[in-house]
This record gives sequence, structure tokens and C-alpha cells, in this order.
Amino acid sequence: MSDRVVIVGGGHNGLVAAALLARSGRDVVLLEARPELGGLAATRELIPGHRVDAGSHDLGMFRRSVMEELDFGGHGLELIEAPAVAAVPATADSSAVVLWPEVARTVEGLGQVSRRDAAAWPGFVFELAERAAALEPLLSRPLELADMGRLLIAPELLRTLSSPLEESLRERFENPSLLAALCGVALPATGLGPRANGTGWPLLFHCALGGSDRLAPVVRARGGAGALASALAASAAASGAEIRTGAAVSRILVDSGRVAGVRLADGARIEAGAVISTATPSVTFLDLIGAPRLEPRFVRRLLNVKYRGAAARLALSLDGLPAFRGLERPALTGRIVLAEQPDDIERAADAAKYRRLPDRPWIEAALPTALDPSLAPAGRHLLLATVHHLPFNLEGGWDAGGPELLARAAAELERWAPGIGGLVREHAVLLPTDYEAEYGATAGALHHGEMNPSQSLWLRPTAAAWAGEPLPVAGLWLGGAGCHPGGGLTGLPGMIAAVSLLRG
Amino acid sequence: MARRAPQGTQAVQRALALLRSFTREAPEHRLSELAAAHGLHPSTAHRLLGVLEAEGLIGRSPESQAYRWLPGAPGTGDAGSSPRRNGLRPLEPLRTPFHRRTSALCESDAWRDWSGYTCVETYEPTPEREYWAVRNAAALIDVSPLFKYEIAGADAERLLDRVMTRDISKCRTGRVMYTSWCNEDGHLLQDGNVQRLSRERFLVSAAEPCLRWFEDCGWGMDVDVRDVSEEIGVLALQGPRARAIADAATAGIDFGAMRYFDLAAGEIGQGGGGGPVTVTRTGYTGDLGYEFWVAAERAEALWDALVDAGEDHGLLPAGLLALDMARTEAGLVLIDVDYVSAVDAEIEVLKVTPAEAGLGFTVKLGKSADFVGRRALELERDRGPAWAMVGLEVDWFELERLWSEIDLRPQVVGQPASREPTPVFAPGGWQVGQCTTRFFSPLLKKYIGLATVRGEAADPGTELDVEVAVGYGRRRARARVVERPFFNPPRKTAVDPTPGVNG
Repeated sequence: MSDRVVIVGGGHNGLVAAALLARSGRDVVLLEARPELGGLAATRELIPGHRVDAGSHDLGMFRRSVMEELDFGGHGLELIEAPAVAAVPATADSSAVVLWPEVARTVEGLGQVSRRDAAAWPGFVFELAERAAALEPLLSRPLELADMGRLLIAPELLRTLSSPLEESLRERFENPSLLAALCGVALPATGLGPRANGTGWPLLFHCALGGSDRLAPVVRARGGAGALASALAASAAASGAEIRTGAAVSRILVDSGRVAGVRLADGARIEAGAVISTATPSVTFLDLIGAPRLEPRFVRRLLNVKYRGAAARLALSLDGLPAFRGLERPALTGRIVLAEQPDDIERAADAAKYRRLPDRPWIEAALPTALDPSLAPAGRHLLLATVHHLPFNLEGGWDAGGPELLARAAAELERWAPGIGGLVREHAVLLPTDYEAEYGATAGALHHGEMNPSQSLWLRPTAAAWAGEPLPVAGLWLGGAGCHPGGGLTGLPGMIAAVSLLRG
Repeated sequence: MARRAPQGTQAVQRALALLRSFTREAPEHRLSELAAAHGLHPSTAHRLLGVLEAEGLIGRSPESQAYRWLPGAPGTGDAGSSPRRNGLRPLEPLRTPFHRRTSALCESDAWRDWSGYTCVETYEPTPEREYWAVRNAAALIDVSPLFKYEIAGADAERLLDRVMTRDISKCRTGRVMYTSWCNEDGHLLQDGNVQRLSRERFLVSAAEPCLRWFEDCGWGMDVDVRDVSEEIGVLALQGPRARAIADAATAGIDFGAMRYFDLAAGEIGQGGGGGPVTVTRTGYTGDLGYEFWVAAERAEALWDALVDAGEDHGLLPAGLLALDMARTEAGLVLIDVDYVSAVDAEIEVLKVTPAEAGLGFTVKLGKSADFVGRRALELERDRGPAWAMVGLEVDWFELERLWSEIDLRPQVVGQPASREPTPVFAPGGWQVGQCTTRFFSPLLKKYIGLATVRGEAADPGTELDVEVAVGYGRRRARARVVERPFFNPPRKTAVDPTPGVNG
């Protein structure tokens, strides 16, 4: 049996696994189908002269210990923490709200819109941090049975994660913009409206992995999220890992219930004693291994995984900074949540439920050039508008739906930043279908499987097991966002896969 | 042209067919349309419709002069409601494609729910004559409620070989294979028949639904699984006279050459022309017999052809009680009675492997395809099944003695098969299993039963005690383990079966 470990997928999780395993002296080959590394955290020149992040670009949840272990600094990664966490611009009917990492600064701003909310903010941040801290240990390693006890003795934590987010927030707050800002931190890429049960979970998830000292901070890599992949690749290569791009895996080879290696799309065969797949569980098992090799009940479990939470990315090259009402430049460095109230997000989710485009798409915007002007040519700004809560199986299909979505998104942006249309010089679009076709994100789900309590913790596949049973193929490990703890730029699924493999 | 009295049964059949065109959904028809639909000369259709109108069975629209359905008229498309019996029928009972035929003959009004379908339990007040028809003449049994799945596509054989414990790659076109299928733990899900219609097309018949199971097992394969249960009517023609009747009722099939578990396609009607029908030499009675698979819209034509052909052979329609008696003599197990499907087993100990349900012969561990449950069944092969399905023969003198204690003769003769499970004991000792079906066989003159017992109590000749109800008392009667089937006439499998030659 070969000692080689093959890693399928060069997203950040695959690269973390490759770097950690190579550092432990393993013979590692990482195979990435695309020409660039980074997967859903890649930076591409989608607009000439611009460094456009294709997916995630927020490193706020990335595990610091991994960064240190792999010497990111030495491999050229520079982090920039945004001064703002999240901001909701003002509209004709609503006021602007900005959440800052500093409690006092946020309280000061909130005082302008609601004295009650301003008074409630410090207590909220404290309790959230406390609950997040209780959750954090469960997210950074394979779960053990004893962990279930940790959850059960924390009834408030359980209640918060299983409740509709909006309800929990309304227990404290009244200002619609503030509620929308918090929903905007939690709900991107979930496909869930804030009235859905279990939407407390993604907020806790963000807070737990964002660090207990600040509320879900936004951290970016200089040069774009792709700089993370480059640093990881450099670290892995320095430890001897072989990293190949343009190498699409078409099959994970199984011999008498054990992985034997992989076959590439070009027919080449690579022997391996272990394979870490960072593809979605659906792609890994149904496509790369093949349903007929699996027990029917396992196939049924795979088919039951919900892959909602498709999104589209609209990248705009602007002639200047757009005029989001009521927000100063520092406030534009974090998440820009374009919702006047939680119901704006809920309505978008409603439309998706019925396979329709929302009348007013819900957009989470970012202005990466506000922090790092090097991403665009001089004088230009880059606006990344992510339209969340889209139905992958859109009625009428995306060929017709794409242009319509673009028109509605443009109208929505204009509503929030009047005159923005006149600033646009160039644009690029990634639709849900592009995310599936180009990145293997099943049904366009950026998190490789909906992030709700019913698909989290013990209920999400972990590196070597799922629902209490070992994975059906010996020597196969899962290391992508589809497994515990879930999506986002955390590095954790890759790390857990590497650690599990090393432990055997 | 002089009006001529219609001759024989043909006119009656035509008139009834016309009558059946009138339903609540399609109440009105024109003469030309009816004549064309039934292949009749307009004058013939006019004559027959005139009789139906004069008899008050159909009406006439005053405006258009078209013929009209009359609500409540007997025999028309509105089959009407029959009294609910035994509380088992669902609120909206389904009707098999033969329902109009079977309901017209069901004197006893004894109905039973079978997978949601209203089925005849016994046509006459007692099942005795129907039972004897199976053994001495021939019986016609509506078994349409079976679930039927068409498996088609390049990977059809691959899917079935993955699902079934038997080697489906060895099932040639024109053959039927009886098989089991199991879950991942080797626990029996069902037993049923696989018909190979062509290289890439099969029909699976089963007692319980299994569409989702086939779909899950076939995920990623080039195969189409379709539930055709409601599209196909099934009639079982069983008994020593079955061949002669089948021969006379169909065309295009060489029944002499048709072997046990063969399949053939033919036409309904002595000279054909009644539409296609598929015939399999299969059945659930352990006798010579055939099963006829027909598109639902031609079901009544098939029934009529078989009934006509059976007139000279003592053919009787038979209900489910007679079928149950016959299958017990044949030693054939019944799902939900003699074993519990792993799908329905509430607790682990109720689940059985094929071997434990007496179906070990359907498990082919030597086949090349990997099938669901294989590993578990290989382990079972090495360690031996924990349970065995056996035949029991209860000692008649002992039964007489027990009943004589309350001054009665054994009250078991003339009773249908009992499905109430009763315990089986080592003689004078602990329980070793349960008897799930038993009845007094009028043919064998023996009180027989099917029982699941511990492996060590399964050898033929082993003496066991079986609990019997004697009046209000529960007593133990001595029984002996015997080989199944209890009754196995040579005609069942004979080549070119001929009455009087093969028994």
C-alpha cells in the first residue's frame, strides 16, 4: 500500500491539510482541477487589471494557531483587519447603523437611533461571546460523545442556536437596521430567512470562530483572498508537498473497500494509501466513488443532504467610492448589509423557496479597495455585491434568470447608493450555476451543504465518520466545507482531516 | 332488413361492452363514435343500444339524441358502493381492473383489503369449492394488487443483480426468477418474481412497495424504474386444467413447450385479436398454473376469454382464502404472515435473513455481482442461520384426544388457514419458535402449519409441541417437523402438462 496521501481539491481546506501533513513528513500530492489555487477563496482577474475574489474574502474566522504553525507571515500573507464589522446604510425610510469591533463606539452610534438598543448592546455582546466561547471547542476538532454533554448543560446556548435569529434578537433590540445588520453577519450563504428555526446557529458559528474578544471581525488578506491560498501553497511546498493545478480528479479508486488512489480526467492514475477529499459529500461519494459502490442507505443519506444557499457574485469596477447613505468611509470597510429590516432577507428567502427571483434581491456588499487599493487600477474601486438566497433550481432556468437578476440587483444597488450606476465601468458575474460548474459546489451551495443545526455538529459529516458511523471507504477522509464544522474561511475541516489522518 | 335476434354470447358481450362505455366521467356518446370504438357495424351498435335503452340501462339526450349514462343503472361504469366489511377497507378503496367481473360474481360479499384494493375473500359463503377447484379443476384468482415495477435501461440487469440475492445475469429473456432481496445487514426485505422481458427490460412483482429502494440502489446507473402497478392487471389461473384453459383462451403461445418459470407473449382470444397478454408459468398454489399479465384496459377481455374457455373445465373464480389454503399446502411463505420484512420490523429480533425465512435457496453467494447484504450473508453462511422455516404436521390422534376432553371433535376441519402466530415448544420444554400459518388440509387430511423455529429444532422428524386452541383452553399438541412442500404434484413442473398423465 502506498504511503502517499492524495488531496482532492486545492481550496483553502485542501491546502491546509496538505501543508499540515507535509509538515508531519507525509508524502502529499494535492490535485486542483482549476488553473489557480484557492477554490471558493480564489482571487481571479475576472475584470482586467482587477483582483476579484470569486467567493469568500473574509479571513476573520481563520484559525490563528494554524497561521502560526504554518508560518503564514514568512510565506507572504499580510492580514488587514477592517475597522468596521458590519454597516447598514440609510434609506429614505430607515437610518444607518454601524457595528464596530469596539463596544463603546457601537453604543455611541446606536444612541443616535435607539437609546434602548444602545443600552442593550454591551450585554448582548458579552452574552454572545460567552455562548460562542462555550461552542468554540466543539468546532475545532472531531466531536466526541462527551461534547454532547457540553451542549446539553448550556440550555441558553441550545436555545439560541435552535431559535429563529430574528426572534432572539428582538428579545433585546428594536431598531430594524440594527436587526438587519446582525442578520447580515449571520445569514450569508445559508439560504435561510431570519424567521427560520435554527438561524441562531450561523451567528454563534461566526462569533465562536471570530474570536471571543471581538464580535465577528472582518479580516482581509492584502492582495485578495487568493493570497491565503498562495501562502498555504508556499508553506506546503516548503515542507515538500507536491501541488498540481489543472489536474482534475475523475475517480477515487477503491479496491476491496479501501482507497487505492485516484484517476485523473486525462486518464493518469495516482496510487495513494489515503485520500482526503475536499469536494462536497455529494461529489465525493456519488461522482468520484460512485453510488453503486455504496450501501443504499448511505446513498439515501447523501441524497438527503440539503444544498440550499446558492448565491451570485457581481463584481463592479467603479470610477469612485459609491455614495451609501449615512456611511463614512471607515464604515464601508466591513460587511455592507443592504437590508432595511430582517424581513427584506426573509422575503428573498421566501422567493427562493418557490424557485423565483426575489423582487428585491438581498445583497451583501463589500468594498475591498476601501482597505486595499492595490486590488484595482488607480482611481478605480472594486465593489463585490453578493446576492444571497437564490434558488439554484430557478424556475425558467438561469440562462433567462441571469440577466433579470442583474437588472434587479442593479436597481437594488441604486436604491442604496444613488448614482452608483453612473460609476460602473466594467463588471463581471458569477451565477449559482457557475459556482457549481467551475467549483463543484453542489447546487451552488457555497458552504457545501446548508448551515443549519440539522446539518451541523454531529449531523454533519466529519473527517472520518458520519452520523456515528465510519465512512464506508477505508482510507478516505473528508476535509471540505461539507464536513464539520462547516463552511467559511476557517481552515478547520482541512485541519481536522489532517489531524484525524495523522492519528489514524 | 329484417330484425334478427342476436346469436349466442357474443351479442351479450358486445352489449355489455357498450354499456361499460357509459360512465359518470364520460356520460354521453354518439352512435358513430361507439360503433367505431367497439369495432361494430353502426347498424349492430344501433340495435344493441336500442335494447339497452328499452331496458332502461341507458338514456337518450333529448337535444342531441346522443346516448346517455343513467345514474345508478346496474352494470354501467359506476360500479356503486358495496357494504363495508370487517373494517379493513380504506375509505377510498381501489378497484382492480377485474373488479366489475369479480364483484358481479361475489355472492358472499366477503371482501378483504389487499394493499388498498378491494379483493374477494371468497365468492361463495365458504372457500371450499374454490379450494377444490385449484386442486381438481382450475381456479381464476385476481392477484392484481401485487406491486409491479418495470426496470428498463442499459443498467437494468446491473441494478437487479445489485438488489437481488439471486444471479439475475443468469435469467435469460423469457424466463422468470423467484428471488429475495435484503437490506445492507442481510435482513430480508421481500421475496418476489423477476421477469426478463428483454435484454434491458424486466418486470418485478412484489407484495409490498419497493420503488424507493430500487431507486436508491440504482442511483447513478443508466436505468429507469417505473411503478406500473396500476397499469397491469394480473390473473392467476391455477389447477390441473389450467393448461387446457390457457390454450383455449389465448393464441400464439406454445403451452406444451412452456416450462416452469417460462414467460411467453401471446394474444387474448382463441384466434387472438383480443390484444397482447404476457403469460408466465408461475403461481402461488404449488399446482400447475399460469399467471396472465395484461394492460388494465384489456383486463376484462382477458377475464372473459378465460372464463369462456374454462366453462368446459370446471373453472371457478377463487378468492384469497382458497389461495391461502393452497399456498400453505405448497409450503410457500407469505410476507407479513410467516416473516416480517426488515422494513416493518419494529424490533431487531423480528428481522430474518432469507435462510431463516426458508428462502436460503434464493441466495447465491457465488454470483459475481456484489449485492446488497452480501457481506452479512457470507458471515451467516459461516456461522449458520439462527432460525429455520419448517413444515409442521400436528399429530391428529393427539388433537382428537385434546378435543375429546371437552366432548367435541377437533373443530379445525373446514376452516381457512389461521394467521395468528402461536408458540412452538421443545417437547414439554421451552419455546423454540412460533407457528405462523396452519390449517387442516382437506386434500392431505392433515393439520399442517408453517413455523419458524431455532436452527437446532429444524431437522425433519424432530418432535415439537405446538400450542392449539381447544375451546377456550390453550393446549399443547405434539407435532413433527416435515419437509416442505406438503403437496407437490408432478404436474406443477411437468413439461407438456397433460391431465391424467401428470396427475
